[in-house]
Amino acid sequence: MRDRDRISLPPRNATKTQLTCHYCIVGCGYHVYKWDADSEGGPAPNQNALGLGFSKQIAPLQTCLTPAMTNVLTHADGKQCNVMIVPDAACKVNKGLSSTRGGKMASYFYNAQGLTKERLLYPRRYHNSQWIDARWEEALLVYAGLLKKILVKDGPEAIMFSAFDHGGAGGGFENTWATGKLMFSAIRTPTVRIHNRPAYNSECHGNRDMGVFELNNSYEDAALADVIWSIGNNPYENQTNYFLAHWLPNLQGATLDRKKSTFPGERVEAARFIFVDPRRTPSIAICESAAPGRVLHLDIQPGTDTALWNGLLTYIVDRGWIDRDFIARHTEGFDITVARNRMSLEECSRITGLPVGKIKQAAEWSYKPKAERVLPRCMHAFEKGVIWGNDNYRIEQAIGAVVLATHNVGRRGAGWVRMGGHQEGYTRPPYSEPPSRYPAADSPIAAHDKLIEVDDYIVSGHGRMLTYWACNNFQTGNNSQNVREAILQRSNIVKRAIASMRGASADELVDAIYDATTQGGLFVASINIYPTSLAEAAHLLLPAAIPGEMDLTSMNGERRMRLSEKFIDPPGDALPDCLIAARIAQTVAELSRRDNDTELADRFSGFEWQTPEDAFDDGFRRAGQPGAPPIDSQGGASGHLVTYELLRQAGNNGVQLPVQAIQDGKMIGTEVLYVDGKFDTPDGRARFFPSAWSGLLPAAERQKRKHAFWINNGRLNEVWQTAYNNQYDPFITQRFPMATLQMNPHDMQALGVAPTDVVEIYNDYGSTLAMVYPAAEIKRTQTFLLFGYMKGIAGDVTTTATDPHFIPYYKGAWASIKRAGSMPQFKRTVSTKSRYF
Amino acid sequence: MNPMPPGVGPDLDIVAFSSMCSHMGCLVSYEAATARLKCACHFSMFDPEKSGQMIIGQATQNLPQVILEYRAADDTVHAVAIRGLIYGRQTNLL
Repeated sequence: MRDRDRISLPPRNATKTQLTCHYCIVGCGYHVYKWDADSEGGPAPNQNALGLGFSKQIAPLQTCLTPAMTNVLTHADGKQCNVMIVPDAACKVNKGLSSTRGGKMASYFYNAQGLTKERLLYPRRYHNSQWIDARWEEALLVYAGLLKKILVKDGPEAIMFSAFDHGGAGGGFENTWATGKLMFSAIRTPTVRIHNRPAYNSECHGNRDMGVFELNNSYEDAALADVIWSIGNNPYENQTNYFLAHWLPNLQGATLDRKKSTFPGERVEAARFIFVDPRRTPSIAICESAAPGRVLHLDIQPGTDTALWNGLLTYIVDRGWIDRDFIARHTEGFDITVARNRMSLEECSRITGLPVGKIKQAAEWSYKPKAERVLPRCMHAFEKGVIWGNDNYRIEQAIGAVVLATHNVGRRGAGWVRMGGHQEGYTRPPYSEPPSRYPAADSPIAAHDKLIEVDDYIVSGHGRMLTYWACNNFQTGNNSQNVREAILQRSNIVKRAIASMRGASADELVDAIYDATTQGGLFVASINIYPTSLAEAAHLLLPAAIPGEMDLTSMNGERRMRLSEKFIDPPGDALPDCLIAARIAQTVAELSRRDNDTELADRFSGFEWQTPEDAFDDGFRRAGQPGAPPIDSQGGASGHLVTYELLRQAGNNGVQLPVQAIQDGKMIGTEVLYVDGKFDTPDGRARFFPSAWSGLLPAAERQKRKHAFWINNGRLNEVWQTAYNNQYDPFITQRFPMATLQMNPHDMQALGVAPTDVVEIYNDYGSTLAMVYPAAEIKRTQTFLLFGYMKGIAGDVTTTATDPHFIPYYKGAWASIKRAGSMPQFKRTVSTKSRYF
Repeated sequence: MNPMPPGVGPDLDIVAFSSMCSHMGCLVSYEAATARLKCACHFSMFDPEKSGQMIIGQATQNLPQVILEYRAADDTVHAVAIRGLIYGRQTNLL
């Protein structure tokens, strides 16, 4: 592979627009320069739009500019343009930094000769082992025709979706609204799962039921905290620039002046970090290297988080290291929770595997009052180790008990926050609940019980059509091998029906497909920017657009909402997801009118949008307004104050939701939630929930007893999600030709595997393959497998273990491992040197 | 170091790279014990035995490699080309 070695500079008159990174929760700010393909700026500062001089070497840290940040794109009219997408030095989020993921954005826009040539340009129909391009009108006649037929004959439940619910690429407020309006207001189906979990639940019911929304502070608070807990979270790899720009400077003592001026009279020093993770991560190694002695790694046994937090709660309550006044005035349920969660340090140590001394040290750093009787400002950040952990609901509430008891939410320099995966951007009508839980529970579920476990539903033979919207559960689901096999088998029944047709009209095709679904068949559609591995099961692919090809709004992990401006047309006939939803609804309405069903036509009205801004006005800006239907929106009732024009003016710094007011033509946002001590409960008091330790979830425990290795799984810094772009990029595929399985070298030796050998990983749920990557930093009998990859699917060995609300315990996978073979090519070209600094 | 293409020299193990990290130009340093080139600014690391492949980090290209020529006659090594783009430049030759 030949690296590019020249960058074309934007001329002074290049257009400049704002773009939030497509990828992770941090949402770094970028600028897009666009100019005519046949010109370029010159190397002198006054000859190029960057204002930089390229006649001599630019000094370190003065810029972040690489060939990957450039591309040649084509407008719908065929005119070509140069594009450069570079980080915004004035953005408060990233301060000019670009991660390896965001730095690739320009490369991943559509270029017919480039990395992304496999982008879907047109709808595609499956026709007897071939994928044939089609017009929207033809594709929609089949899709909407089938949808309407099923709706009329069987009701909404048989129409199923697995859809995104987030922001950024494959998400956004415009798109969550439009898809939500289609699914919940028009179709009214309860059979909806989310891109990363099998039911329509929240990853954060635990904290929300306590009255705390999980994004309640600002990134600035990480720079002001006395202590930061990173719980089930590896921030260097997953929230990179938040960690580099805000966490690390605090650890290194570089934010002392800000601390002194924000907390006058309070003793302040450089931060301390406490990591809770069975695995030593690259983040821990970096922090220890940056500030030895100020980092503590609580390497708990897998799945024992609840025990840790119950031990901590007991310890601090017994010492009085709590804010009694706050507890009395702003909370309820404290006493009963302390009693139910009670756990001695000895018991905590026995379960978690942590020495008593280490637990005590963590408690002292975090909760022992400072000299002025002020409790330390302690930010508790958590992510997938908790969310996909051993009973998500219980762990969240165990952590929350300590957080509330020490008043570490609603205070500057604190916050109880999830760190995030994707960005956020949720505005939808309320979920159309089923009458009862599916499958039924063995014992009563106190809340959030009206859910459908959609994977289970499909595998059991229910449902007639399934639409994947901007996601790929073949690579990301739990128990994914079994679910995939069931879907493929049911999809084939429909394929055979399609194959038997001759000269069929759209209506005849719909009838044939419908009849196949009465024989156990399943019609599968995928709305995506690429075919993806879902193409193996799909009968219809519909082409979507990414931010920049459409105007799109999202918010990041500190509720910072930005507008990403459209600067190029979507390729071919691809459309923004919100307009795809509109077209589906409009086609159902037309077909209904054709069949004289005015009631159904009315149900599918209200989608007369020309642009994403129209969808934004219909959803985000109507929430809470008089006369509007119920709308669940992260913009809240003041969302109507936000306009695209105001967001354009606010640039990459945007506004932190909720908007309080407009002053002098600028939106005033909200930096920290719950400062007034009023929480999201009917009476405003935060609630403690008892969360006694209850061992491992049974399905996980059963695999643990049978199989020797813990298959921890998660992200690697360089790979985004299902590698939907990365899989076409040699920079990534040469580095990771397969999913990597990091193993302790002693375990490797015992199994007779060398670095880059291929192993089979298998348990009762499935079997997958991976490439071995040595890691002395990982404990024996523990491993770390890249999740979501297109070659080597970690989900295939994850189980059906979920918390009471169907949140999977992805992290609770145990399996056997055996050597499968080797690829000499990998040994030659893939580095297996340590990822630990 | 092990022999590896495009290493040159009698043992085919002499390689050279730009010392400016391909992320934002900080000078990388060689850690002999692990044979890694490390950048202390944002913790990117590169493998000199795999043509500067980024092991982990924030760059979007591998560390630019200087292509060398070995002249046995006088036992000297010469830089003849660069693969990749050096940080902070529009093109490698100023």
